[in-house]
Amino acid sequence: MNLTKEWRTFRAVFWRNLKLFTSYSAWIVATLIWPIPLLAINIYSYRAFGTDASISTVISHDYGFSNFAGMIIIGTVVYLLYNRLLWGAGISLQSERWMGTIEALFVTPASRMTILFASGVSSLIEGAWWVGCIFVVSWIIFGVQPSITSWPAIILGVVSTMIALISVGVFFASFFVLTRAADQMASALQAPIRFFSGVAFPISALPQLLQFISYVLPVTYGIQAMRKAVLTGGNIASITFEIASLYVFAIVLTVAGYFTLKALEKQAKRKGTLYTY
Amino acid sequence: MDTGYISKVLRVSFISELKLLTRYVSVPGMLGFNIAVPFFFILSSWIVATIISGPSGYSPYFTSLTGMTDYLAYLTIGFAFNTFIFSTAFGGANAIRGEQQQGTAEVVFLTPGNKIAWLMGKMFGGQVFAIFGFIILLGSGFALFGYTPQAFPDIPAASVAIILTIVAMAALGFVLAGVCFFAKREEEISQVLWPVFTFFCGLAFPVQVLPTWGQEIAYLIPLTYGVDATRRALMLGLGFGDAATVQELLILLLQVFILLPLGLLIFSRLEKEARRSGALGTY
Repeated sequence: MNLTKEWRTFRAVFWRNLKLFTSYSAWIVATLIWPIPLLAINIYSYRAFGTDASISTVISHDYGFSNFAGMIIIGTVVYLLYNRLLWGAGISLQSERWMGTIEALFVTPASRMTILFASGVSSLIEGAWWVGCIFVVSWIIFGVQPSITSWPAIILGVVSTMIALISVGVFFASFFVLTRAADQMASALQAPIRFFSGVAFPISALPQLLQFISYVLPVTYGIQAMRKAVLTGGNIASITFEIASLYVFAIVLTVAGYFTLKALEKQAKRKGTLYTY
Repeated sequence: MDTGYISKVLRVSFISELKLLTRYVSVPGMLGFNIAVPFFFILSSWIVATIISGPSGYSPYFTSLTGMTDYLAYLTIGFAFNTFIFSTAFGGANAIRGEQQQGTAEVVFLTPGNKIAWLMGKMFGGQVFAIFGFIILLGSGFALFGYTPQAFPDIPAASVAIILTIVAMAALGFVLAGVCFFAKREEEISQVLWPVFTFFCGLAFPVQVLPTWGQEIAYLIPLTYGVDATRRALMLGLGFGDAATVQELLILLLQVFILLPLGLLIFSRLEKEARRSGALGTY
């Protein structure tokens, strides 16, 4: 592997994606505004069943979170990062197809994995808008008071979640090479992942059978780690299981994504279906 | 005005949109995107209901706000309206964005064909799928989650509420189509507005739980009245004989008369401005 060449590929894809993102002011404004009503829907869904005080009592007693809005905000932040990576890294190869450049890309010697990782990292930068926006909004509107005792735990949680979510994007990108409807698939994946990973509620509220599905999703562990670190004063020791799980996902999904992409690229080239859309 | 020519433009545009929509239709895609997505939203809200109200999900607080006892049916009707948000409010902008991306926007908007008829044809094409999706979603939602109306449902009143909502929301569709000439990114506009409608219009929870300023905004949007009147007709059996339902239908009718000409006017102005400033083709 020629590291200089890989770095140049990474840098080129990264800057191209950021330039694409910043070219449309509507896009930037949308990413700032979009999470606010999404978050508010989750919070007001609870308010259909009682006052804030009665809801907080139930959530605190049964699930250990003193503020139900904080629980939802953390869930939404991690989910939005996943969402951004699915649409960024996951859809990146499909975007090349739409732009008519996928054949050119796939006959260059550039590493596909480097391209995908660069797309993932640039998506994270885009996603940072959302995270910042949500924290400011939650502080101003919903009056959430975090209970942080260990900043290293938060930093570790954020970095580990990001690494795992990039690998999710890489994994899905390889599958999307074969389909003409990657955007439909990505859209269809959003709602189930949002449900099973417990964005709006603790997954222990799900029936036992459904919890098994939750535990095979990396988003679940990201949300759990961040909720513990930000809302319940958790330290590194208390989130070790979640962090370890996130890295297991990162390794497995990256390796699986690499081999899947290789096999599917070969198949698409053989059948001549790379360009067609 | 050559009505024959206008109707030809409308028909051609309608057929072209139908062909475009059916080009990528697949059963898994339809099920995944149109059915599974709203279903998971309903399930999420249901879990929230069971967390706060216990395994039955029955909440006296919710019933005191809405007069309805079947929360799942309430959600099913609310989320089924999503299909109309996407087709009616965003259909026009989506059509213009499509022309921009294919490089044909300049050609379409420089021909002497009636642009309003062209846009309406595109929006009607989307409506066919939206109505189909609405019926499937209601049917499958009621079958899966149950449907216990508190009185015999008033289908005619619900149908009138749905039709008026579609027409009133089309006004917004014209405005967004005009905005798309300049903002370009239709996907982002719809991405922002969809949760805004869901939040304000009572799709997922009663409008009454919103703060006062939120309720004031909610009651400016036709969708709020449409969803509520449909729910009242289908769940409480309240139709043309009920004063509150009639009032909602009349407000919808008034909104149609005010908003539709306004929407058309704004679209025409924005289209003219896009032609003048050369913004038609750029993307």
